[in-house]
Amino acid sequence: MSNRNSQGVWVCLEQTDGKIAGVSFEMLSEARRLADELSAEVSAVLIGNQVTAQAQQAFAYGADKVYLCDDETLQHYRTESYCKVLEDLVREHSPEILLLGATNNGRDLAARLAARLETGLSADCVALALDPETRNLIQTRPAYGGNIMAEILCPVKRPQMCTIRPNAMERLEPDASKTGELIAVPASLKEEALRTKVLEVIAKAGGEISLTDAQIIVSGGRGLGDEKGFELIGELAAALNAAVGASRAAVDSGWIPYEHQVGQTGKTVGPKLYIACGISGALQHLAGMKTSDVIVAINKDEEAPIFGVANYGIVGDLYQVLPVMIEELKAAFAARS
Amino acid sequence: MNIMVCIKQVPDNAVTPKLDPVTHRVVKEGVEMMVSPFDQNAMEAALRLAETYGGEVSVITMGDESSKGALKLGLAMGAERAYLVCDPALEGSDSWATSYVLANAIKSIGEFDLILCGKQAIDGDTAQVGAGIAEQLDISQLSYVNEIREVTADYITAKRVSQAGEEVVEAKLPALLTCEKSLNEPRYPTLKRTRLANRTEIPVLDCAAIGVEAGKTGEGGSPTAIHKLYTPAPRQSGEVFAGEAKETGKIAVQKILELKII
Repeated sequence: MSNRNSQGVWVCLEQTDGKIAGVSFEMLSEARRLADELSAEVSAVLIGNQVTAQAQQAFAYGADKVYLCDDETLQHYRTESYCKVLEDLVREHSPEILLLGATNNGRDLAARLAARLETGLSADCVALALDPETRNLIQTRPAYGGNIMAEILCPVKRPQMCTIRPNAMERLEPDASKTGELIAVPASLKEEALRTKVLEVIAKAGGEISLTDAQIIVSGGRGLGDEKGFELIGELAAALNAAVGASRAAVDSGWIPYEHQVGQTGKTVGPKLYIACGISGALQHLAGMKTSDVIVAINKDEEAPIFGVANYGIVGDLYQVLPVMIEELKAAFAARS
Repeated sequence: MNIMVCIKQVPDNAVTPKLDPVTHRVVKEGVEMMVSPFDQNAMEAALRLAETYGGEVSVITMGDESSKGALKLGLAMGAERAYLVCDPALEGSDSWATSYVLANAIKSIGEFDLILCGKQAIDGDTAQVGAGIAEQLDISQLSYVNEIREVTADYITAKRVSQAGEEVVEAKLPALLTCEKSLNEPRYPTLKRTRLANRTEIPVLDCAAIGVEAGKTGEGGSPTAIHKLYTPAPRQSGEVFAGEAKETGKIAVQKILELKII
């Protein structure tokens, strides 16, 4: 699409089983900031089944309008059904900017939609700014595993589309008293027209925190020595209400499944706190975690490259240091309550 | 069953990429190259499917003459055919333009039941070309696949990873899958196949051969433009504590509590 009359900043909210993902609120906060600068409105798109009640949350985070498409066929995310809803809305209203979450489903949807609209898309953005002269969106994103940063423009085509990395942008305080216009739209495709079917959903094991959403991550590496080391990692993670990560070495040794791997060929994370235990800090691991706000590293080898990126480094045997930390944390929390 | 695998040659990820101080582009000359890791998983998945269900595996890439190196790995692993899409007009294509070119190239080559890609290439990290190709070919896409369960005459059933967990999805063929690392362990090429790969003629397809419109490729045909590339400021190392675990463990917890996130 190429439309110089396009206006408005749009956010495609992300929800699973009616729970809106945190990145959606971060996107709404960012959209509000951009829209105020552009003197434009913020619109949110909420797609799902029985999600009407969730629209209020978008208003609380600054949306002026919420386009709601609530339909049985939209119970589970499917590229084709979600893409059609969003495509129809975008063609009708021509937003200037469209943000989606840089989660697996968000990136899947954004890529399909951008291809269909023949517009530009920047993946996994960590910062957005407006060019003061052209009002074009300057989209900052990491490439080469974060070793290079790129500023991308989409000078002609509209909307300017980006996916936004979770935890990268500041979330405003919600205001529950805010309201806006709720606009219901019908689902575009009937079940018979769809070429994909979700046969089974396998939710994460009970209580397990997703790495990409986590505020705190405790990771283990080769220095654990064996798979039992992850019991200790798990204990520290539980004490901090954190997710468990791992280095490629630990995954390749078969100590923990691949879904826990942090790094260039695993997950890229940016939590508030990343605790690296027995991880030397190979380039490909650093690529996946070095945008964390605070890094704490525990390693026997004082020469380990991980200390080069850590805010706080502890030189020592993790099997001695971690139990002390767990006890100290438990004592601190007990004193609070 | 005919399968096309899309692969990309990328700079080796064991080396920190450097920017050319004059052009501000990533330096590729003299840098060791590799086939993007997830593309190797796609290659392996295709070979296993062909072994189970019969059919032929082809491999394609877009790039310069040196990208034949990547295609040779595909051939050495077991692909029957390899295609290089190469034309000066493709220089600077973004993910949209690349999808447009690859989709047209695939269309010009023949009919495929499945197209497999890695979940993303580890240079651009966009994860957009697979979906773009699927859109251009008007077929279903299943992204982030970590298990292929079954393929019948008309359908594929696969498990994909979403942020909330995993889901088993059935898609009508033809379909495009993007592959996770946990899908499989890519095989090493045998010596025999490597020799064969070195002797195999790799056809080079230019824009005219695949019928892409001028103006829809390269830097000019790309919706996005690179405004600036830069190396992020290196993280500064902070305080380091050594000594008795009783002391250092305590300090670590103090520092964590001072962050006031818990």
